[in-house]
Amino acid sequence: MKSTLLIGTSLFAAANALLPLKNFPVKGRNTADFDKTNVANPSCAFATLTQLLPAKTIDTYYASADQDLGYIGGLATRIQLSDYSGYNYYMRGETSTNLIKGNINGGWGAAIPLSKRTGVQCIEFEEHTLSHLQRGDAFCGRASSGIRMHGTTPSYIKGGDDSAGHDFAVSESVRFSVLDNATDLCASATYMGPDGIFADSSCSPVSSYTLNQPTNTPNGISLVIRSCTDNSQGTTCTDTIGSQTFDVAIASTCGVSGGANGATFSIGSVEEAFVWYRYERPEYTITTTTSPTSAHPVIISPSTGPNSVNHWLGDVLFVQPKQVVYAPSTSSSLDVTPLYVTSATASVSFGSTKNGNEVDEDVAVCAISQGVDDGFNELNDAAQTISARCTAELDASVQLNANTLTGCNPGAFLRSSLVQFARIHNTHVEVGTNATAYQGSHILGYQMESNGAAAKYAAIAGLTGNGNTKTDEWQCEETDKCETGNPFVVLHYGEHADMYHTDVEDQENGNVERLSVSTSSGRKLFINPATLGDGDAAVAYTYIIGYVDFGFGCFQESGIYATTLIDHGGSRRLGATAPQKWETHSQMIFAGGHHVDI
Amino acid sequence: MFFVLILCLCLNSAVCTMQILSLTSARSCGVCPEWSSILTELTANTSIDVLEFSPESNVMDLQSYGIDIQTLSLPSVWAVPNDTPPRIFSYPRTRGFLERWLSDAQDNMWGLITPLLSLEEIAKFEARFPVFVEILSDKSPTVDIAFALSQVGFGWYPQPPLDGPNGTLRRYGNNTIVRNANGQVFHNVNQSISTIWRQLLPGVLEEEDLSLEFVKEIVSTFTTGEVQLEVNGTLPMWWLGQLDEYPSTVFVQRPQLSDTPKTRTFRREMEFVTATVSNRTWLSEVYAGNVAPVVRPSLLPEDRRTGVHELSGDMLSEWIVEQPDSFVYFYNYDDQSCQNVFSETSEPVARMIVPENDHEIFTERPESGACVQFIAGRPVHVTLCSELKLVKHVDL
Repeated sequence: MKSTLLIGTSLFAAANALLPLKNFPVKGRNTADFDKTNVANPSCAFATLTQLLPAKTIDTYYASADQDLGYIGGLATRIQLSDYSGYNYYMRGETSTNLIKGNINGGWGAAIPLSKRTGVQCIEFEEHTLSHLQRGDAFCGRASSGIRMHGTTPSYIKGGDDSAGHDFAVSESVRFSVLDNATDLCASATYMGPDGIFADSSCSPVSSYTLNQPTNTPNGISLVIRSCTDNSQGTTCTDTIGSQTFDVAIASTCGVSGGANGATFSIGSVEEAFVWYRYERPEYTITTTTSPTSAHPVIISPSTGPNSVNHWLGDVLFVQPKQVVYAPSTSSSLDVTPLYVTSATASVSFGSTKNGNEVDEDVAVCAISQGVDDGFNELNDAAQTISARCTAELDASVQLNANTLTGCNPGAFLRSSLVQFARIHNTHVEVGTNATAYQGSHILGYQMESNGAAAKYAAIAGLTGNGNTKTDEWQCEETDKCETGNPFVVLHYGEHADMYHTDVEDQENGNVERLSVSTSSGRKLFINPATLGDGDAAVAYTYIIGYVDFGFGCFQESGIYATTLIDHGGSRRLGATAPQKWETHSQMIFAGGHHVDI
Repeated sequence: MFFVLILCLCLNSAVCTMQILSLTSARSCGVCPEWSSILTELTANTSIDVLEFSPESNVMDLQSYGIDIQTLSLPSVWAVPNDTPPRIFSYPRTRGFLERWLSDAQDNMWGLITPLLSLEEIAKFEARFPVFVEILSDKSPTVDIAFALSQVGFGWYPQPPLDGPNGTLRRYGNNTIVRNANGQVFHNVNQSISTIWRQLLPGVLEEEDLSLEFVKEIVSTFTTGEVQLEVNGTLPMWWLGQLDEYPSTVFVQRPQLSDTPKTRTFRREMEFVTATVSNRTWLSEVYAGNVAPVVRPSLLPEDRRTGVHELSGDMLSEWIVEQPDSFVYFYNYDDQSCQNVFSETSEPVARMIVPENDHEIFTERPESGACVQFIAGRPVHVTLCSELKLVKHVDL
């Protein structure tokens, strides 16, 4: 008997003669989607998320005020899309159902190159109408910016160059901000489109940004609401700029349909949109108080919310002292009132010099450093022909009314530092200074010498005595080492002091006896922040702040002279007896300045 | 050669401070001494302070950190960054993952998938990991292989759901962006990460790359085979096409050791060599069982049963030439279940002891208790002997 074996279930596959039996699974693999051999743009390269969405893709910053011009401030939203090859970019506002393509032939007929997919939205406040020549390059919308708001006709949004702009009347309490969607922000024409107000112009960009924007976008509308109240200090107004949301979508042109083409798409129609980025700017407020005794606003609160915008110096940067903080009396025998200090002022002004001559300040075109093409100055429209150098000047004075003081000798001193900073951090933080008005007490006066901001910066820079400067060495606060603070150069340090004596003549009418002490740094050239060194060569901003330490009081003793008010004999001054010479005294610190984008 | 990955541990005490609590035992934990040694080595010359605890001495002191000592295992490690509550080490217990965990802890990261919730976090993530996988999806992904690759960063960039208040978005599937050790970037749509592992490395590795822990982790996780290309100079481009065809095989170029280039591949315990790197079909022929190996498991047992033809691996080819229609069954000393099945058959039968023997004609390694039927010299049917049906024919 023979038996035959029948085979049942296969346990392991037997080899095929020609093909590998154990082939590899291909199901679930979808390589055709981005297969370079089967795409509209076969030369495309892929990018990482950081390359597609750099950290500053959408960024908001506060453009600080200029007290001299009555420029209250502005809020700029910069949009800079990556130009990484192989991708198309789309944007939309929160309420829009359409996506606008960033690099298309369309809109107003102009081809927007890949390298210019950038825009700046500016919301600005002016106390009165500024000409485009008055508007410095540091402003949010620049010298000939198309969109701004001015105080004398608050219901108007003004087109940039006054000769070309258009005014649009809106209701008194509601204003518009505008996402500029033209080929440039600086407007030569402004018009009301179906979805908003647009500016169309050409001029050089703010800072290093090129100012181009996806066309036809209606997404920039944001309500700005102003509310004002009168109070004892003047009129306080709060401008609230509504929150904004932008969506960015990115599609690969390496897809089978090349990332879609055309100008405007419904939100669901863009093929291969695989990255979505949402930027949300919270509500922002600027609170200003206009004093009836001052032509200039005092910025009280520059921002609200933890994530609003970069924190600029704000409340201390442009505060013009309107009243002196004085010390309480330490002796009943003296009748000291605030009236004995009639004024304390300080300011920082900017200009330029050319071949040693001062240039008209209205021509705000100057270079940070020597040479016409230093790679930093993009403030102007004619960067290749700049020969003027930017300058800054600090002026300060204090005036005492000696008539109100009896039984003692009034005296005052000023220490002033004109300081240029290189902004290497996101925020303007000046470490180790005490740049706020200081409430004096009877133990203050010279004892607070080292706490004054002006003296502090001078001490770090190793400067003593009037008129010294240090322009060749960037400094860091000793303990901070620029970990949080910005490096700085003291462009000028000054010390001035005087005492009232009977030989000081009445300046006015014989009834009021005054003592004035003033200081001026003179015009000082900016230092190129590029000299900070290779490691910080990417410094994007520099800014100037003037610090003044005011000291004033009244000496009961006789024989006190100006030369003894300011000296550097710290041991005497900090000793037990020297402060007692002041029967009353106060100290305050002023910080005034200006930022300059470069 | 590509860049070696380095996870930087904190060297600057002014920037970061962290305490590590280490619980080990020299008596009751065999791996503890080595674990302690690794931890000591990784934290040397850093600002990380390591405090050691053991059940034999001061384990009670862990309670002062808020640690429940009733449920401890050995070894255990906690990080106490900046006086915050302790975070226990929860990664795979390897040197690579301990190093990764220390690095993560310093960045206040407590998982292997990094949420990328802002552009700043994306920039930080890409700066931290030379090799990374960015996952773009609306739902948090599950990435099992993150627990095998200690030096690869996995980041999740959440995407909005398709249905929004202002219309339905178009989002092109779930995407991954991969940057490999050479800085090359790849983009994948709707592919599982396990299928794109080769993007993490150059297509053909150099031999020295295999000494890197980073490479070892990837190769040991994703490959089962290896092809060595012994040649000085440039390989033919078509080898890149082989990468997709053999996704579980690592390709390594080695220096040429003789006058002629060689292609060498390993399949199970068999080694195949050809004196060229230009034969495009050779590899498929190897996997088809049509190429004889230079090394093959082959051994005849000393105790051979009388009446059954005993084969070694080397003898199989000759057998099937002589007996193209036959059976071969596999056994070992503990399992001779096929013996009775084949005792009465009239078919030509041989047997092979395993695992001492193997042959390239089989696509998988033969196992004891199975048999294969050859027809016309090819293995056609394979089954368990217990499932064979014996049909008896009565001679009339």
